[in-house]
Formats: sequence, structure tokens, C-alpha cells
Amino acid sequence: MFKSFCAKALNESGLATLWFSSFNAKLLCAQRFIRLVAYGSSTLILVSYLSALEISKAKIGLFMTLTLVGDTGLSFIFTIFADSLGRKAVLISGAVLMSAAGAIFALCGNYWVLLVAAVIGVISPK
Amino acid sequence: MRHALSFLLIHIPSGNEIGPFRAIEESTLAQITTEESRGDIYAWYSLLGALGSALGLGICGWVLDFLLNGLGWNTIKAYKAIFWGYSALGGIMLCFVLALSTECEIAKYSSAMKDSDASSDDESSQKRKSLPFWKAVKFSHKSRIIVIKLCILFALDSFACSLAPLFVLNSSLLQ
Repeated sequence: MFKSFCAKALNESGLATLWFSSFNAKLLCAQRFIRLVAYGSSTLILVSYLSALEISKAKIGLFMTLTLVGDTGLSFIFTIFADSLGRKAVLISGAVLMSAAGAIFALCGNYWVLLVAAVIGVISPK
Repeated sequence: MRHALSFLLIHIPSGNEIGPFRAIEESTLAQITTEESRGDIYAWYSLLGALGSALGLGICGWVLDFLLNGLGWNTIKAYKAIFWGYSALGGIMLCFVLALSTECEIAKYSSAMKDSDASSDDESSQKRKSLPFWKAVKFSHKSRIIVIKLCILFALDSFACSLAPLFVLNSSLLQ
């Protein structure tokens, strides 16, 4: 009784499907999870970090806008060419850009350097 | 009341994520899953995303609190530590990506797609092949209209989603 209930719950919730899916599908889900943990943490502190560096509000506004524009442009180009360049290659460069952007934010406090890192690199502004 | 409202609106799950990853991952998932399992996998894919986002916000808050109040670090040093964490998570993601197999590439389907393209409209596909942009964008004629319609719909959705929380949050916090 209990066993069949568990089996049904696993089936209905789709956990069973996830469990029996290919290794690649699990990896894709896991990498999204990890990425959004990172995005969540950076979103919270991005604006506070910039104001702690004593950057004016207008400049912070410009920063957020340009970051969003940069990320949108980058996503567009990356996604358009993903299938011809190879999906894995594009995902690898994205992950490298993400890691590099984080490192630059940790190492440097200069507004313009951070702006370039946020526009070219992958930092989630929202 | 106002805060409760802003809380509700901010947490509308739009599933939007900026960056080059999501579109590639979703199209890859569509390719490597069977039709019956696809719905379940997509559901877990987006749920894990939402969970990750929430966990990231939570962990960031706890860690910041610990660094600032527990260890007495100054703000900038604590923020920089969080960005090191961000960079490290990027590194972990890189490991996951490196572990993906060639099953994820589109190679299997591209030859079939070229064939159907060539048979449907030979001339225009010839023309398209000369341009690098259209070479990269392999829309079949059939899907183009659906893609355009969906793009307009999603653009509207994103536009509205990005307006409402900001507007409500600002007005509720300023008053």
C-alpha cells in the first residue's frame, strides 16, 4: 500500500522521469540550478556593492541598463550561432565569461572596469 | 498590505533568465528527451531554476550577515567575497558543461533539415546560404510564422513583468 503510494508519487511528480532521463538531461538541470544560485547571490548585492564603492545613483542606473543591454546582445549572438559553432562550445564560453566576470568584480573596484566586465561578461542584473 | 502586494508581484514566476544559457539548454533538452518525458523534465528544469534562485538569495543573505556581523568585515570586503563565490559557481558550471556529451549537439538533425529546405525552396535556400547570418539561423519556412508570433508574445510578457515589480516595489517602499 505504502510502496505503491510512493511509486505513484514519484511517477506523478515526474521525479521518476528525471531519475531515468539521460545523464546529459540531468547535467543540464544541475547546471541551471548552480547558475541560478549564483545569479541569486549577485542580484542581491550588485547595486549595494556599487553604492558601497560610492558610485552615484545616475551612474548605477547607467550601469544596470548597459549590463542588461550587453547581456541581451550577448545572449542573442550566442544563441543564434550556437548550433553552427557547437552548443557545448558556446556553453563553455558562457561559463568562462561568468566565472571571469565574478573574479573581476571581486578583484577590482573601478567603475569603468566593472562596467566593461558586466557588459561583456555574464552578470545577472535582475 | 502594500508590502504583501509587492511580494506577490515580485514572485510571479516569469522563468526569465538573462544570458546565453537558457535557450541553448532548452533546445538541447527538447532534442535529448522523448516526447512523453519532455513535460516532466521541463517542469523540473524550471523548478530547479526557481529553487536555485531562492537558495542563492538566501545563502547570500546569510553569508553576508555572518561576514558583516559575525566576523566584523567591512561591507566592500564582504561583497567581494560573495563575488568570489559567484566566480566559483561559474567554475562548477563549467565542469558540468564539460561533462556534456556530443549527444547534445545538433549535428544529427542538420542534414535532414538541409534536405527539406532544399526541396521546398531551392532558390531562396541557395541565396540564404551565402549570408552567414541566415546560414546560422536554420528556420524552416513552416516554423518561421510561429516563431515570430511567439517572439511578440514573449516580448510583451517580459515587458509587463519587468515593469510591474519595479513600479510596485518603488511605490510601496517610497511611501
